[in-house]
Amino acid sequence: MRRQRVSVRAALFFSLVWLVGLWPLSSRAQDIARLAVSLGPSYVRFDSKTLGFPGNSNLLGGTGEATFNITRSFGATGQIYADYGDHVHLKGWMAGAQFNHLKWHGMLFGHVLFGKTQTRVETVVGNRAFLTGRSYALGGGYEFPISQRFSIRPIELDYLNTSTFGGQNNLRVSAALVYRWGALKKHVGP
Amino acid sequence: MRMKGISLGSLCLALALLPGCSNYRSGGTSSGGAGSHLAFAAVPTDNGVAAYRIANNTGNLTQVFGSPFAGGLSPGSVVVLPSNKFIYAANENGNDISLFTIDSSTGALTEVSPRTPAGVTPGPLLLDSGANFLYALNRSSGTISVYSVNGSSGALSEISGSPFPANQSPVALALSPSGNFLFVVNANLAGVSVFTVNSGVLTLVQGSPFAVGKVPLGLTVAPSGNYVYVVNSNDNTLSIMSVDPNTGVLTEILGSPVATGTTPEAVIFDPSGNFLYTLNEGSSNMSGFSVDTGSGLPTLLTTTSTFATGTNPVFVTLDSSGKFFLVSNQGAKTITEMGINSTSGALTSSNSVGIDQPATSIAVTK
Repeated sequence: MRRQRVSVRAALFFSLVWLVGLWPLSSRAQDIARLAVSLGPSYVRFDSKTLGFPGNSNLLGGTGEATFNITRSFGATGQIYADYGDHVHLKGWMAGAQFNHLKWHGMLFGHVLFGKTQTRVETVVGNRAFLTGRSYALGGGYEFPISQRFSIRPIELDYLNTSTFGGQNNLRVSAALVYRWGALKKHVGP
Repeated sequence: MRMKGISLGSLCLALALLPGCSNYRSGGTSSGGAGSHLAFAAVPTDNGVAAYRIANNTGNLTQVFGSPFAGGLSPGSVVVLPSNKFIYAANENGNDISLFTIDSSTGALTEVSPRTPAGVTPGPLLLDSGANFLYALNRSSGTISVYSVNGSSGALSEISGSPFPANQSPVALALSPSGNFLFVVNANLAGVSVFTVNSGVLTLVQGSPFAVGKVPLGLTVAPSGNYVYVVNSNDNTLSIMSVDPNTGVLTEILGSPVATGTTPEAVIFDPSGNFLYTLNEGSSNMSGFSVDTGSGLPTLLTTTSTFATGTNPVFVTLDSSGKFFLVSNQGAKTITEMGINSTSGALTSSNSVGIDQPATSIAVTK
């Protein structure tokens, strides 16, 4: 792909315009899938001030998730993630509950996740330390269908708490492409 | 109506561009450096230098990840170059000086080999105002090693004639604001030796050492350069000496000495030069004085003149913000900030951080 000299903000603007432009083109309302698997990029604003850094760290990486919906409004979800920055690497897994609500031709969701995170910190080259600790996340997002099988999740926001080398209050922003199997139809009358 | 003509590639591109809402392309640390500075503490029993980040707005202290950073044997004194790129640590048991680079993004230290030889039991260290020369007091050998400083690399080169004899049991040193005189406290001689300074070359002033109280341990020079203040740990007193601007000869002024707290070990001015404080290890506090800048005579503050520190304070330095002193408390194993009221001279203990082993020296970046 030819490298484009486009500012991050301009790219964000055009992406949002493109995605917002996509949305009304889909006349397909979102069904709740029995099983949904998603994969996409993520950004973590890591609370590295607790490590004595001058500011927070910006980590880039990805998140993969699988959700099994037990009912139309409730499911179990598992997630793995990995995000990397100059001095901090973060990776882990979490699992928990997801809550769904159909809205605006798509689906709003929220989740509560618990798991473990491994943090690698390298303040100077060769001087690195690893520690695994518990983590939890509170968040949610929105997704809308672009076909029978695929949905786009343009935004997911999570408060991510990690407890490595002390405790960190982090913010994660992610997006994903979602592949869906099965559909939990709405029960209509006897 | 199905959506058409949308390639998976463009879809992925949009998703890839959506997060990462910052100007940092590779996920590095944000530029919070302007909102904080660093403090480094020599921890001899850890054979390392501890590092702390100080938030400029709150003064909160956070230990830098990976601290303390390994250095030589028993680093007892640290100084930071004004460029904020390098720090020196005098290794008391190694009889040498370590050079560390300071990582600007994390505050972590990396030692640069080889170490620079010094005399026996080096420390404290002192930089001149232009950071051209580093002075190392060699307490056991009774000498002063003087090094020229390479500002780009931090490398030290001992100057011709160094080390210079410093009389017996030198324990503290200070430069006059003009840089023309170096004052050295000789504890066992109950006196202060004075040297003229010429491009780092030291010449003992006749009459040295000049008598003060018993077991002097610390000194400071008035911002005017007209007076030297020396704390006498056995007498619990503060001696005030006028400085002859031409010869450097010291003369005790009328009204000296004045009483301090128990076992004073250090003395320091506030940024204005109007207030003077002694660090009293035995009574775990600081005594505050207002200073007549004309006569040099200090007077105990009227409302409150003693300010509690942690247990057994042994070192004090002024933070680069000018808002507080940083005090190392040996008994409490803490570093405490003592906020300065520039109007009344009162001190208020604020942020404090625990340290595994006592720190004997603290230096701050700008």
